[in-house]
Amino acid sequence: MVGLITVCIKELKDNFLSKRFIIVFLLIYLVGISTATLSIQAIASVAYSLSSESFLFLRIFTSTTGLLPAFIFFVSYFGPIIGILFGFDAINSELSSGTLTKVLSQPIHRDSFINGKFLAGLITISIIYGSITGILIGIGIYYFGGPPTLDEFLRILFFIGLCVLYTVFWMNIGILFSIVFKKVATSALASVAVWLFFTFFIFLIANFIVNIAFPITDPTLLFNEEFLAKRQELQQMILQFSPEQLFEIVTIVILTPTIRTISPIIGMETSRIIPNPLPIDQSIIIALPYLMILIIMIFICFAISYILFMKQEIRSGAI
Amino acid sequence: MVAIEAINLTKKYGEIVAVDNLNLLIEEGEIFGFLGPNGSGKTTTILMFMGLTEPTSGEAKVFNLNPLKDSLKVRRIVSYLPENIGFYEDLTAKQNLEYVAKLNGIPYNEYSKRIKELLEIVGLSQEMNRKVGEFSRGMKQRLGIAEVLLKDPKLIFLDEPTLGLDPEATELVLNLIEKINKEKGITIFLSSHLLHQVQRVCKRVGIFVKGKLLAEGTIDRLGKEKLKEAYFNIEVKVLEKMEEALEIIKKIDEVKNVEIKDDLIIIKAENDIRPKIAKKLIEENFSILHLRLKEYTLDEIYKQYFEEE
Repeated sequence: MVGLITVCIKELKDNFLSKRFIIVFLLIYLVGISTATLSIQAIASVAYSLSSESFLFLRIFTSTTGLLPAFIFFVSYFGPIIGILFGFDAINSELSSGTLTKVLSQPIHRDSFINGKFLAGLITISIIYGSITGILIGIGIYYFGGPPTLDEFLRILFFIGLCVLYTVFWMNIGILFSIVFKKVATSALASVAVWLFFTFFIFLIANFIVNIAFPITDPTLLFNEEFLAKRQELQQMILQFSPEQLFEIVTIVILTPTIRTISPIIGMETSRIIPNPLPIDQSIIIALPYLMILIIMIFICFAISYILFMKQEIRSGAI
Repeated sequence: MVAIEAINLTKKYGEIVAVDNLNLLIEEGEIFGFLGPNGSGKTTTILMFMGLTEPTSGEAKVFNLNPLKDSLKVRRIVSYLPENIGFYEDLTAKQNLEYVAKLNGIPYNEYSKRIKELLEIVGLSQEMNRKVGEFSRGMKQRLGIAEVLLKDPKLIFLDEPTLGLDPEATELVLNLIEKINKEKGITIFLSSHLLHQVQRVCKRVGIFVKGKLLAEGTIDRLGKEKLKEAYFNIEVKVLEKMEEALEIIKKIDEVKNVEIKDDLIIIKAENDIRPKIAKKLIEENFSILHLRLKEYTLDEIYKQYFEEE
C-alpha cells in the first residue's frame, strides 16, 4: 500500500504541475465554459415558456445553439484526446529514462506502480470533469435563478461519472500502448489511430457491412419500413463497438428523461408514446446494457495492460 | 555469512542463452568485480538477483532469500544502481531522493536527515535544490550512489558505475565505492568491462563471457594461471635475408612456432630464449635490428579470456 500511495501522490503532483496538463486544463475549461454558457443563455431566454419539468440544468449539457456543439459532444470528441494524453507515455517514458528500473528495485510490489498511475489518472480526470461541471451548474443557477432539483442533481452526478469512465477508457488505451510500444511517439500515434478508427472509420465499416447484409436491390425497398429497421438495427449493433457511440447513447438517455427506448422505433409505435419524463432509476435501466459494455471494455483494457506490465522485461537496453 | 549465491543459474531469451549455468558464491563484506564485455549477460544476472527477472532455471539467493518469493524483503536490504541511472529530470536532486525514501517507507524525520548526510558524502549538498536535468553525467552517478545508500543496504549491485565518466569523476566514484565498503561494511557487486578500474577496488573478480563464468578468484591468481598457459612471444628483426633467419630460428629446440608478420619475425617459445636466438643469428652474420620479449599486461590476460570464447 505504501508503494501505491507514494506512486499515486507523485503522479498527481506531476499531473497538476506539468505544462502539458495545464494546457489541457485551460483548453477544457475554455471550450466547456464557452459551449455551456452559450446554451445556458439560449435556454434562459426561452425558459419562461418551459414547464417546471423541462430539466433546465440537464439542457446545459445537451442543447446546442448552432454556434458550438453541445457539451456532451464536446466530451465525446475530446474526452479521448484527454484520456490518451494522460496515458500514452505512462510506462515507456519511464522505461527509456531508466526510472522504471529504479522504482521497481525499491521494496514495492510491481503492480503498485501501474495501479498508482491508473489511480492518479482517475483522480485527475475526476477533478477535471467535477470542477467544470460544478462551474457550469453555478452559471446555470445564476441565470435560472434557482438550484437544480434532486433528480437533476443525481443525473448530473451520474453524467460526471460517465465522462470520467469514458475518458479513463481512453487513458487505459494509452497505457496499454505505452506498455506495448517502447517509443513514446509510436504509442501516441497508435492511440490516436484507435481513436480515429472508432470516431470516423467505424461508420464506414458499419455502412459497408449493412450494405452487404441488406443490399438495396430494388428502389421500393426504401419504403419498406421493416427492411429499413433491420438495416438500422444492424448498423447500431456495429456502432455499439465504438466507445463514442456508447458514451453518447448513455449520456443522452441519462440527460434526457423523456427518452424511453433506444432501439429504432417503427412509425406505428411512435404515435402511442406519451412524452412523460422517466424517474432516474428507469433511465439508468434503459442505459444499463450500454453502460455495462463500456465498463467491461475498461476492465478488459486494464487487465491486458496489467498482465503485460507484470510480465514485461524492465530493461531498456539489449541483453 | 554468504551474501550472494547462484546455483546453476540460467536465463534464456528464446534461443539466446544470456546466463548459462552460473555458480557463484560471494561473502558478506566483499567487493566482487564482475568482469565481462558488453552483452555478456552481466545485467541479466543482476536483475535475477534483484528479483526483477525470472531465471529460466537454477536458483539465485541473496542473504539466503529467494529474490522472487521474498522480493520485498530482498529489495529492502539490497540496492541496485543500473547502468543508465534514471532520475526524474524535472525534480530536484533532493526531491528525487525523497521519492525513493518514501517508496522505501522511511519516515520523514529520518529521511530528511539522511538525505542531507548522503548528499554531503557524495559532494552534492550545494546542488541539492537544482533540477537533475541540469546535472552532468558524473553528478548523476554520484547522486545515484547517494540514492542506493538511502535504504541503508547490506548489499549493492553497481552496474558499470564508471561508464562514460571522465578520469576525475571516475576517481571520485571509485573512492566512494571503497569508502562505503570499508566504513559501512556493505557488500559490493561491481559489474564492469573497464578492467583497470575493477582491478583497483576489487579483491576478487569473476570473468564472465557470453553467459559463462570462465574464471574466478583474486586478480593475482588469475594472471598467473593465464600466464602459465601462454607462450613467450619474441619479436626479431634483421637487416636482410629474413627468410634465412627464419630457417635458422626454426632449428632451435624450444621454438614452437615461427612466422613473419609485417617484417618482424614472431617466435612462440616455451621459455625466454632471447640469448640463444641472438647468439645463433650473430654466428651466422646477421645484423640484428630488434629483439624483444613481448610481455603480457593484465589487459592482455583479460583479452585472452574474452577472445577464447
